[in-house]
Amino acid sequence: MGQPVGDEPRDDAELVEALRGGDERAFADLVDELGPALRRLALAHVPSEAVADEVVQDTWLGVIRGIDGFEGRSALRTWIFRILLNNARTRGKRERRTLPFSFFRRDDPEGRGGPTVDADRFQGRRGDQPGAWARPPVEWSSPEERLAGDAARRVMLEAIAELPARQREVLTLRDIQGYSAAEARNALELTETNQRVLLHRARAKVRAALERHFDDEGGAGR
Amino acid sequence: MSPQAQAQLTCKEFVELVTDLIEDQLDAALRLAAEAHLGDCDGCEAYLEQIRQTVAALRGLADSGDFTRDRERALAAFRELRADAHGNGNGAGRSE
Repeated sequence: MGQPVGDEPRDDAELVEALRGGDERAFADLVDELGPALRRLALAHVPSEAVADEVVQDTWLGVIRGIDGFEGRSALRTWIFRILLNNARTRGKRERRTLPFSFFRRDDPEGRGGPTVDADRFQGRRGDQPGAWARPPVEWSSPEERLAGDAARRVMLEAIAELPARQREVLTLRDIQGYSAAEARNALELTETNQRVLLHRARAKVRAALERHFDDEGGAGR
Repeated sequence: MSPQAQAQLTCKEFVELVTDLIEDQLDAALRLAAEAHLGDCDGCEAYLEQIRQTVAALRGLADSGDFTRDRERALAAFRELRADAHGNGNGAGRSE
């Protein structure tokens, strides 16, 4: 399908053949395409860059060694992400056990259910307008500068580390890496709806963390 | 307070729709209800804006460190395990 244009991504069958044949250029293109996302996703599970590097390298070794046996039952890229995720999740669990405090807190990997904004932000059933804001969010002042600062960056990283694993994976690919919904869904083997629910919950938590941070910053002190 | 009530969303409901709204995944009726609510609610407008700002800020975390080392190691492994096996005489090329 499609026109055979020079630099277009090749279709799976062709790419798999090239890899089996030892075509280094084809492999390098694949590494360039997926490498940054794989690294990010590894970092969503393991606590250090060094371990993430190992996980990524092991993934490529798995691809190089496994390509002959790859039967194409899933898309090539989905298969590669699956190798990485299996590896990263296993390593993540192992590393977590050895840490003195819990690095990633939650055990429920999806963290579904319940509202994403604290119920006490809204009026209760006896209020004038049940379900309307009791404490509405207040516009952030000079958001661009503050959000780009080191403090906000730290707040976001902490909030991400606290997310349930699946939410962290989706947020990592969609919002940090800039993947489309379809790309993230294929990489993580999620349904469209599930992908969106996880993203929704994750974004809400990061926003809430930033709000708390800005409230503290803007408040009492001055 | 009258017939339009059926289509009205509370703020509590609205905040659970923001991702579907941003991703354009609401059906027409719900989208209209969401937009109507938004036009009339500063709190929800601020909430949606903050979600957008959060997403933009997250993108700023993207620098993925020294990917070049990952790349070199992966290519070296490929050369060793694959190119060799197929007699693809690529020579040693660069060293690091």
